[in-house]
Amino acid sequence: MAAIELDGVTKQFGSLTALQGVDLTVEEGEIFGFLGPNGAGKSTTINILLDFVRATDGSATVLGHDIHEEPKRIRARTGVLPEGYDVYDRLTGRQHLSFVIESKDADEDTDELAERVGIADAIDRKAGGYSKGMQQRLVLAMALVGEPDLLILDEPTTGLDPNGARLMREIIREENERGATVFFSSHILGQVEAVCDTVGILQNGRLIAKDSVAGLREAAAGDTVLRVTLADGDGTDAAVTAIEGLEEVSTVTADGTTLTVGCDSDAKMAVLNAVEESGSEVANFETEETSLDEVFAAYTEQQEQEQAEVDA
Amino acid sequence: MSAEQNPVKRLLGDIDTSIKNSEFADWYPISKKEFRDTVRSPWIWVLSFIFIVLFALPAVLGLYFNIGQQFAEAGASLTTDAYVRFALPIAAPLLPAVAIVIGYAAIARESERGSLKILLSLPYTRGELLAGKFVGRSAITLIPVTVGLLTTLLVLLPSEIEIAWESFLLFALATMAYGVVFTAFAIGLSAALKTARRAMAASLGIYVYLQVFWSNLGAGLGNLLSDHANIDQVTQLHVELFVSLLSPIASYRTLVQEILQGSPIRSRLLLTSSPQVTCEEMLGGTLEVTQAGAECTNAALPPQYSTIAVIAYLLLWLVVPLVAGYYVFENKDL
Repeated sequence: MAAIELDGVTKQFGSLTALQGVDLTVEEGEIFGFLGPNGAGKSTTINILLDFVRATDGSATVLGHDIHEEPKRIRARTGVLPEGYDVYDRLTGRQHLSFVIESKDADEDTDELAERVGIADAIDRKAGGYSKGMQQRLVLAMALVGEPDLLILDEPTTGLDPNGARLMREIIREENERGATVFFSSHILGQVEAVCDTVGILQNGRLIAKDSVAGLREAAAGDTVLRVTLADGDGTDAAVTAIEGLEEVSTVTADGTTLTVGCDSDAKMAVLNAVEESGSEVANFETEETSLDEVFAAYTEQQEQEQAEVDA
Repeated sequence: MSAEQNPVKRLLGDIDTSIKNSEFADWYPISKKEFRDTVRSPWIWVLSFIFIVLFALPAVLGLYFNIGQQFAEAGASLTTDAYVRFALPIAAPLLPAVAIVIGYAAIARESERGSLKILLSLPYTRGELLAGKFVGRSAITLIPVTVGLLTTLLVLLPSEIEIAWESFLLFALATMAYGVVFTAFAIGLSAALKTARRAMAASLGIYVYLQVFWSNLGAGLGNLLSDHANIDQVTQLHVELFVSLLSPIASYRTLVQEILQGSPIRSRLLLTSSPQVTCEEMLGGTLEVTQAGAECTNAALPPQYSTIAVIAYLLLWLVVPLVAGYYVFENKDL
């Protein structure tokens, strides 16, 4: 059974279309990164999953329950870190946690939860005095109450310092190892790349791609960029000619002793062999895998081009 | 002292556990959170303090120095009924204002600020959320009412003033219900409207209308129908009385009057522009003017003006806003 299943979900706010026929399946036990620029419709999707807003068209289930028919059963097994939330200024961290524990009929220790997210020393202070990062940690702790089967985290690293972001990633991994499915949205690619099994890219209300991190990278730009530094500049031209002769190579440029080769990802050895055979010695080489940023840019551009073609 | 040793704490703990375990009280943690959160709002304390002072002190001081003698019925000893007469014109307009301030932000403010997302991420339906808010905030409204009434009792107990327990407790009950009704009214609007500002404007606006203009509405409507639809005088009085009773302020006042007067007919007559015609033509009685005031004898009160009916009109102001608020809230995007 899929943890989350969206089927043709469309949402219109007046004349504005926020989501357009989104189909998406998140398998149980995976860490799913929901990626897209601000305003793409990520929060709207999450709000629909939590029954905060109602889809104009389409249907969705979470943990096997219809989102509109049984939101309470979904929420009983889900931990949520919403976006744009606010804590209760006049209540302490401990009161927040106790309230969630009681609401979920859970049996957890508030001190342990606070310890886990690193706010143990502030637990008896009023949450209104917390920094944005501490509030984020508190709400994360609230999301962890009751060992939920699904964690929905909307832009979880907002307001967190690098330590906080690292802690967030650790907790996501721990929760996933415990068996929880994690669904989190972000516009920061580094966050997603670091922990996710699968990534979906949302743009202008459409899901434009869904794949594993590696798969996406390959799909967006099949080429691996290989940078080869020769021991001396004498054999550069010969080396370029030799590499160009290879079937798997698409581009070669030379700059002094450095050759930049665009090739299939499995052509690395062939390139190096060709250089050696041409009589040059390889001083150094490195491969450069495309970052998700580039993947994202490539997908986005591709989408815009297609759109432009359709419009034309 | 630990919880096990303190019987009060243990009792509260037992009550807490049994409500928590009840199948129909899923909203209970929300009401508890709501109470804890709201009770820490300094504004509500300032307002409650003003209410308590106005509600209890002047009447109590007046009675203590025997200024209240004029309210006592001739020859009778001074009882707490005199205090109730004093407190009624204070509570009737002031308590709704307190209740509205306690209730108006309940949902709209959380929706604006985003904490509603945290609440509704937890296993609650929107209806349970509304129920929890209503119970928690009503408990807050009951604080100033209870403290005001207890202060009154504490001051009056050692005085010469006799405590008329039955009427005093009924007055306490009616006043609590009145406070809860206006809390529900404000929470209903808070659930239906987009911002707390609008909820406050709408609830205070309606309250001011009820307080200032509603008393003229019944009479005005009666006149209008009499002038243009040729209705007879009795019908006109029916319109006047019925419309008046639909205001929660009027229905509370007439219920408390009833407690003091011991007669629903006499307290309803106070709401009409022509007690004599009302008594003789509408109710078929005889109006006698005694030392204690006008009395309508041998009259029969139609069921729509009975005590039960008036209580129902008052409770309509609790049920309708909550149900309408729930309906809008349930169907809207947050």
